[in-house]
Amino acid sequence: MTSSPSPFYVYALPESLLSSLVPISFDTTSSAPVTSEQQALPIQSSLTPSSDPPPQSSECTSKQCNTCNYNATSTEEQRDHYKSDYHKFNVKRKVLGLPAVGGPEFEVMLDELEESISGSDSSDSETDSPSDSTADKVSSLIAKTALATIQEEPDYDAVTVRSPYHLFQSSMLPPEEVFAIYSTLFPVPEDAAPLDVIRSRQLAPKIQAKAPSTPVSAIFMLGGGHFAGAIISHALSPHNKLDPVVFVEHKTFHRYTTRRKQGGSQSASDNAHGKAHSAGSNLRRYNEAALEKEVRELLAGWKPYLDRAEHIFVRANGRQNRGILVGYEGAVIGSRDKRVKGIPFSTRRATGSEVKRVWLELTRPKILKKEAFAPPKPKPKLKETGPVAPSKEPEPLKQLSPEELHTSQIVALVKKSRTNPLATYLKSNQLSPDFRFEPAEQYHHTPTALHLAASLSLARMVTFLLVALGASPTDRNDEGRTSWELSGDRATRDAFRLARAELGERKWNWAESGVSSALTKDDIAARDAREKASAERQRVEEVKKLERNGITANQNAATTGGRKLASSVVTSVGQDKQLLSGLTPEARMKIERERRARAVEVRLRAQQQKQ
Amino acid sequence: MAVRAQFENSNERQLHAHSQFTRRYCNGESNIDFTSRIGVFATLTNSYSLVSVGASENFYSVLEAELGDVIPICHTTIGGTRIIGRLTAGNRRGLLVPATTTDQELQHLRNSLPDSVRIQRVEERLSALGNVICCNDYVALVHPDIERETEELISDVLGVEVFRQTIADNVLVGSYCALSNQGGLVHPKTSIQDQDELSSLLQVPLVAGSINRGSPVVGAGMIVNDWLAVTGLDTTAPELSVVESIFKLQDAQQGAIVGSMRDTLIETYT
Repeated sequence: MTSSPSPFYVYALPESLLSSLVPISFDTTSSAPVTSEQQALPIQSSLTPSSDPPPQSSECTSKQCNTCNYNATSTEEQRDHYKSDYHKFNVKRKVLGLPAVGGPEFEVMLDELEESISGSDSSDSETDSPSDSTADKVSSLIAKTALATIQEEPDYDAVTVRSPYHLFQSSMLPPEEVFAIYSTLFPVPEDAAPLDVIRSRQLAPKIQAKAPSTPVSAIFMLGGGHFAGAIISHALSPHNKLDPVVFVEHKTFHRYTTRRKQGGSQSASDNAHGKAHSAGSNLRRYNEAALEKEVRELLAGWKPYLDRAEHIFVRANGRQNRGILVGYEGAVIGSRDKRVKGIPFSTRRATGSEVKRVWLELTRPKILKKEAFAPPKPKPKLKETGPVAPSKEPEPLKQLSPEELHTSQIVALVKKSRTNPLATYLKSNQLSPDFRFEPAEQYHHTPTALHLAASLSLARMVTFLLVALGASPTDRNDEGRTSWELSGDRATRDAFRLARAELGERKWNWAESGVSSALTKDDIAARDAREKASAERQRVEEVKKLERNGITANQNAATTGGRKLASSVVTSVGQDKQLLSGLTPEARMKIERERRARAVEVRLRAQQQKQ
Repeated sequence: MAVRAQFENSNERQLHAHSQFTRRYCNGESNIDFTSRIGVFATLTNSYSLVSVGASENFYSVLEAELGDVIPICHTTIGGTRIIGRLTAGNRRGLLVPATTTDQELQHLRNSLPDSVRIQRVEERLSALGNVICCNDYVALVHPDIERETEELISDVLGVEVFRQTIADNVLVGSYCALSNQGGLVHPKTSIQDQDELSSLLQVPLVAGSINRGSPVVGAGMIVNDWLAVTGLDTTAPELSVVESIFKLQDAQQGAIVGSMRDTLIETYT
C-alpha cells in the first residue's frame, strides 16, 4: 500500500497541518532518521484490521470462514454463507491478493456498481440485462477492483522523472511518508513557492458552497458518445459527509455514436473508408452532430460560470472529441486558455459519479511512501561488469568504416532511385561515381552503383549514372561481368545504348563494356513503332485464320454431318492450339508426340512410295 | 487398501534408483515424476474407474486385481490425450468430461460405464476439470473462477453441493486435494485454520500431507475411493501410512488382525 488518501481537502487544510508542511525536492539526499516503532505501528494496524487472527475455538471443526472472517452459528448458516456472493467475491479478492471486505462494505460496493453501470441519466442502452443474478455483478466488481489496484500502483519511472504532485514533508507524518497534492490544482509561477500558492487558495471558513463569490472549477469528460460536465464549487458540502461534492451545475448526455463491435467513431470511419450507407451509420452520424450541438449549447449556457472558473479539466481523447469542447469557432473555452488542463490520472466512462470521483481524487491530498520518489539511480553500465561477457552488438557498429557508411548510404539512394540526392551525396563526400562498395565480399555481385542500378533494372538511375555522373560502364564485378551484363530488362539495356549514343564512341571503350550498338531516341521510337505494327499485323492474321477455320469447320459440319471422325482428322493448326491450350502440360506433350509420330510415318511412306 | 503403482515401466529408472542425481540426469526428460503421478492418468470413483491407454502392464494388473470384480475399469483417452485424470472429474453418480472429448470417446464411455452413471460434456474455459474440481459423493470444491453454468452442471450431474474455495491459496483445488467420502488429503502447506474450515465444509476429516516422496500435488499424485487408494511408486512409507489412516483404508486389516488372526498370533506367542 504505497498511497492512501488522507481525510483532508486541499482547499480547506487545517492550519496546524499547513504550518507543518515542508516542500521536498529530489536533490536532498539527507535521509530522515529511522522510524520509531510506536509511530509506525498504529498506522499499519489500522490499515489491515482483518489481519488479527480470530480467537480459535478448541473444537476441531470451526464454523468460521477464514476468507471473510465470518462466524456462523450452524452448519446450514455456514453453508449458506459459502454460497453467497459475498463469500465468492472475497474468495476472488483473496486470489488477487487483496484483503477481504466486510459485509456492509460489500453492499455499498454493489450499490455503487449499479449506479456506475446505469451511469448518466440518459444512458439506457448499457443496462441490457438487469435480470441477471448477482453472480455477474461479482465478476464485474472483481474486474473493477482489479482495475483499481492496477491504477493504485505507482508508475515509478513516470513519477521520478516528472511527478504530478507537489510533495511536502510534515512533522505530523512518519518520516518515510510524504504529503502529495496534485500540482495541476496549484500552478506555481516562477518566483513563488508552492506552499504559498496553496495557502493563498485556502477557502474562508463557513463559506457558502453556492454563493457567487465561492470559486468554482469545471470538469468536462467526453468519449464514446458519453458526455459529462459539471461546474463544481470549491467548497464542500458540510452536511453530506458521504457525498460532499457540490455541483453548481451538472449535465450528462449520451448519444449512440460509436460503431458497435468495430469500435471508433462513425466520422473516423467515414474519413478512413469513405461514407458508409447503412442505417446505423446514418444514425451515428446524426447522433455525432446532435451531441456536438447539445454540448456546445450547454457550454454557451454555462458561460458565466466558465468565465470565472479557476480550472477547467477536460478529458476528451482525440482531436475530434476535444474539438467539440475547446477552440471551435466562437468557443466558450479558448484553445489557448491556461485554465484548460488534462486530468492527471486515468478515468472511466463519462458519468456524473465519475466526475465526482475525479474531483475528490484531485482534491484529496495523498500520503505516499517516500521511496517511490527517490531520484532514479544511475543505471549500472553494462561494460563495467568486467571482461566476462562483452556484449557483441555494439562492436560491429563501432567498426563501421567510413567506406561502409558511404556504401550503405549510396545503396539506399540507388535502391530508391533518388538521382539528385545521390549526386549531392557523392559531391559533398567527394566520392567517385565508380566508388567500390565495402565490404567487398558482401557486394561481390554489384560492386558499384552502376552495377546495382543495372541489376535492379533501374533504367533512369543507369542513365543518370552514365550521363550525368560519368560512371564507367567498363568496370567489372568479381565475377568479371560488366554492369551491362547484369541489366535485367530491355529498358535498362536501352538506357545503356542511349548513353552510348549520347556520350559518343570515344568516351569509353564500349566494346569492352559489352554494350550493344548505340541507339538514339528516334531509333527506339522507330523500333517501338515497328514492333507495334508487326504485333498488329500478327493479330490481324490470327483473327483472319480463326475466321477461316471457323468457316471451314462450319462448312464441314454443314455439308458432312455424319463425318465427324474424318473432320476431326483435318483439324487445322489454329484449332489444335485452341484445343491443346486447355490441357495439362503432360497431356499436351503426349498429343504432340503422337502427332509428330504420325507426321514421321506419313513422311516415311511418301519416301517409300517415291523409291 | 493403499497400493503403490507406477504408470509406465522404465528399466533405466530401476537401474539408477539409488541416486536422485543420476536418476534426474540419466533419464533426461521429466518422465520420472510423471509416471508416478497416478492421478494424472487415471480417475477412480466408487462406481467406476477410468485409466488411460498405454500404461504399463503392471499398472493395469494392479488395478485389475483390486477393482476387476467390483467396478468396471474403462480404458480410454480424452480428446486424444492420456491425461484423463486431470481432464475429468466424477463421483459415484456421474462423470464430467471437457469439451475436447470426441464423440467417439463419449460413446465409448457411455458403453463402458454403468447406466446409473451420468456422463456430461462441459463447455468450460477451465477445461482441465480434474484440476479445478475436487469432489466426493456429497460435496465438491471448485476453482473460484469457474463459470456459473458449470457450477450448476456439477451440482446436477454429480449430485453434490458446490463450494468455490482455494486450498492453501491455490485455485487449483483438484490438484491440491484428494478427497473420498471417508477423508481428504490436502496440500502440505494448508494452515490449520484452513483445514478446520474445509473439513467443516466437507464434513470429513482432513489432513495436510504430501505424496510421491514430498510432492505437494496430492490430487494429481494419487487416486482414491472409499476402499482403495493408488499412489505413485515413489511414495514413502510415512506418506502411505498417512493416506491409509486418513482415508480409513486399514480398518479391514486391523479388524482381521484382532479377529481372525488373533488365534494364530496368540498361539505363536504362547
